[in-house]
Amino acid sequence: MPSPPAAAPAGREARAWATLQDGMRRLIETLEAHPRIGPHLVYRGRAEGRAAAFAEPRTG
Amino acid sequence: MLAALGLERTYTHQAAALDEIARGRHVLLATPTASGKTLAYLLALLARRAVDPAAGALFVYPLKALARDQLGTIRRALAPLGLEPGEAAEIYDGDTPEADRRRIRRRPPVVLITNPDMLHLGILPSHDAWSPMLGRLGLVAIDEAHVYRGVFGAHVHHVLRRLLRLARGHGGSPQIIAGSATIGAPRAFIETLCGEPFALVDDSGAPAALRHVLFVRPDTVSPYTLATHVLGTCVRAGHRTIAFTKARRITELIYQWLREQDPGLARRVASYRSGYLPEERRAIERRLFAGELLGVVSTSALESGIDVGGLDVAILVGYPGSLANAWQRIGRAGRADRESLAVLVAMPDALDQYVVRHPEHFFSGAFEQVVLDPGNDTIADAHLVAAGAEQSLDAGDVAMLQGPAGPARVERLVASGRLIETSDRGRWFSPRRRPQREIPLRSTGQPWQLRLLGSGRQLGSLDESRLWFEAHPGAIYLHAGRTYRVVEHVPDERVALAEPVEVDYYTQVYARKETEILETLDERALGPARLQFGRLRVTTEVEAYGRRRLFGQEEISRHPLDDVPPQRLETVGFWTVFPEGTVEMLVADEFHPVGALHALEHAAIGLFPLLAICDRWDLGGISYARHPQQDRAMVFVYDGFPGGIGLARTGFDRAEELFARTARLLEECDCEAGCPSCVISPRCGSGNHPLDKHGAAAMLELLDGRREARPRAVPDGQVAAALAGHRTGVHAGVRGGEPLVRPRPVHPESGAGRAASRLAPGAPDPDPGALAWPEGLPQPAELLAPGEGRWLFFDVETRRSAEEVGGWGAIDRMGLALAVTLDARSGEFRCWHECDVEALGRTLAAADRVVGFNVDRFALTVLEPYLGPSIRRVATLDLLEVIRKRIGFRLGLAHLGRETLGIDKSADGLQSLAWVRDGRLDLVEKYCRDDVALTAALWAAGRHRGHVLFRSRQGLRGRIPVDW
Repeated sequence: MPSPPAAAPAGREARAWATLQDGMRRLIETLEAHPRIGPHLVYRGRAEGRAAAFAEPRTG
Repeated sequence: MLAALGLERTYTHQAAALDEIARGRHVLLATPTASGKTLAYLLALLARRAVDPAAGALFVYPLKALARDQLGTIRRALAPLGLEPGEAAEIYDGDTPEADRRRIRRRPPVVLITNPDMLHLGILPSHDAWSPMLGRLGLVAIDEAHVYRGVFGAHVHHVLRRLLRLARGHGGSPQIIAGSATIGAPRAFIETLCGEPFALVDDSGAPAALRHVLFVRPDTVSPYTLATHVLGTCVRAGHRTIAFTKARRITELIYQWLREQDPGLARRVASYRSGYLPEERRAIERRLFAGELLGVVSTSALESGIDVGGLDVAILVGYPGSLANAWQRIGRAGRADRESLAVLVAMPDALDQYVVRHPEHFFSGAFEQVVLDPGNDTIADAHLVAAGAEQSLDAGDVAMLQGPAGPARVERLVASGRLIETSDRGRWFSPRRRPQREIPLRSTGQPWQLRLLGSGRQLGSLDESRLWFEAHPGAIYLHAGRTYRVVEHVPDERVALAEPVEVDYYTQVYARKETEILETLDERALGPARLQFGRLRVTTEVEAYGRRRLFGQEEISRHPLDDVPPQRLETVGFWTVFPEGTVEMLVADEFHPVGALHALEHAAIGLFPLLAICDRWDLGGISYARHPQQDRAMVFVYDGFPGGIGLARTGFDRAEELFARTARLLEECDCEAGCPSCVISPRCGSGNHPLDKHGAAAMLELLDGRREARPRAVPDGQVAAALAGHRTGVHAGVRGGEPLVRPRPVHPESGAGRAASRLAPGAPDPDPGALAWPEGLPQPAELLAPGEGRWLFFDVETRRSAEEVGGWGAIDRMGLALAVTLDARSGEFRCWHECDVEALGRTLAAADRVVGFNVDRFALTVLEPYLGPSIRRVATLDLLEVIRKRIGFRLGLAHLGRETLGIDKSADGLQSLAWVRDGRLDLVEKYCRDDVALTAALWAAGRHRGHVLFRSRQGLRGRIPVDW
């Protein structure tokens, strides 16, 4: 049961995340360049992300 | 409320669901994986408890494993309310020990977690024991609702209707909150599933990270080899990766290949499937969550359930059949707000190829519908009977359970004896106590069990309609990802025995198929063609099966299947009636007309999952160059289950869309003459012959106006030659003890039957027998039509008991003490002693009808040693048998006499035997006359009133309709 994240990552965690995103791009490039995989890749696309939408605080 | 659960805020969709619950509405949350649906259920429960502090909830999960995943989460979430774990939530399913079951029934937790099967078989049939839970039921949460499609969905619809009726009857007022994956037309689906109006919340407020998507279309290499390379590359780059396969065997194969390719990865990768023990699965999940494992190869077992942590890559080894499923699997990666990658490796089949050629479809949000048909007669009838066993039904109940179709259904069920009307009319109940046991939720009829050869362990069950297609002797049967070979059938036990095997082939039956249109229910134009929807009878003759290689699909061998009974399926379908001149157009343009129709049928069925979620056995197809009923070229697509499951109706409604996509598939596939990616079907019953891909494309051009039919394009002879040689519609007394001696008549008294008293209406009979005839009941003579001839009522008493002769299997050794007949027209009784038996035989043989109670199985068997087998030629009417056939079990004469006529039997069989031993044949005769008279009165009551009465075990008095 996921809970909404408390805050955007910061500091060391943020740096780790940035590294990971770079890693993801590198992974895609690796797959595209792979001699056995690359020739069979027929499409590269993406589904955009979205930010969390929280309900207005309410009482009751 | 949030504070009660230790939370600070909610996503917008959770708040919206809560608002709808507060307004008193049922609500469906159709939002992506990991958007917090369980939290929404719990908030809805708190909202209900704010109004009624005692309110409890039922959480229904489709799978036991899913329920176990959620138990801890729910208990932890409710802990801030001060509830001990056992007070907060308990699981009640097939694995719950008996001792725990009693405790849970007596003191139900706030949240009872169960599944539809347990509701159906355990909770609803014992609803009185569950009164504490049902009486305060405030919320029903239905998780993973999209799973309830087809046959299973139709059953679950009725289980939910039964639940709502009983809960309301016990004082509960449940609202429903349901959760589903993102699907097409979600509100229509959930309203069909539950039979209630719903509010829809489908705008998720949960965050989603950017997802990269790659499509891979292997052409010169196996998709599994390629998937292994992708997995290895991702894992070696340090990304936590999950690869989803469609079968357990493939899971193991990829796992094995990866370890062979890179032994260094062996400890960082695992396989995960449903057959593992729960603790093994938990260990894999823990290692994955902790980052100890970098890769996991899994069947669908991991596509929902607990959060396994922030995975980076999801590889789909084959399109999982629907966008809903694909996105659910993709959603397992990138669950935290960080980028992720999804890689779809396409298989060589029509659907996969369509998807990778049309990325815009993949991202369009055009999710497939989830369809079910609660009106399936077989299913709806069965559940109405089940409801009638749980609590008698009145007209309001019938309307609540079945809607407008209810009254006609009740009438039919009463006529067949499956429901009984109460003696005071207006209520109905089931004569059987537990009809639920005969309703498997995953099939439409009585299923066959698949059992392990040797141990007899049950592996699964399958619908009888699929037996000869999927589980014939020799068939390779995939169950829970494991492979078995069916060895033999045991028809009496409805069991198919199978053994586990490791083989590199699959099996496929060859069959001849014909279809007959029984009724056209709807019709419309489809370009120059007519599109019709209606009831069909499909008759299939299974002739052989072939073994085909798993990789490459070429046939290895073919084996005949002898003596398979013709398989008849009555279902619904939609069919295209092509205009006159279609075949001529095909012939003139040098296409193969039968091959064109056949290829069109395959391709359209292959793409059907784009409209509605289904699997390969849910639909069947058949094509004709000239259908005998309409003399036109026709392509049929039908639901593969008796009565239909809602798919064909969807096809009829959306045929333009289906055929347009089929046309695109055929245009885009660059094969020469048809391949598995377009028109070759892995389940074709005629070995994919003939197929003409380009002819199919031409027919689709005809539908969308790019071509024209040409009635006189070629001479008739040429058409006939083109059709010749191709079948269309092809797809798919030895006992222990003493020898039997014919007893010799020994009784000294005068022969030929002695006349005694007559029926005396309303007055006690002075001389031995008979009972007082019920007042107001017409005499048998008044009830017989002139042309019905001479009728006798008849009974026998024996010299020995069943116990004395070695049981009820030796009735023929009991010996005749005496028999009594009553002439229906004259009202004359006659008593026949053992010495009169031959005269008795002649009298019975001369009668037009001999009416008795258990006359066939008992009385005639007693006489047979005296009179030989010819006594079986007597024309009998056995009242016991008539009633047994109607309600499914036997009732005694004493019971029926008491309930129908208010008359008790004057003695019983044991007393009669005692009198025989004491030589008091006078008393035996009186007793026998009483029974004959009672039989006559029961017959008269049935004929006069059209029913007899009985009392159920629940104490309800019901009418059994009779027509004798």
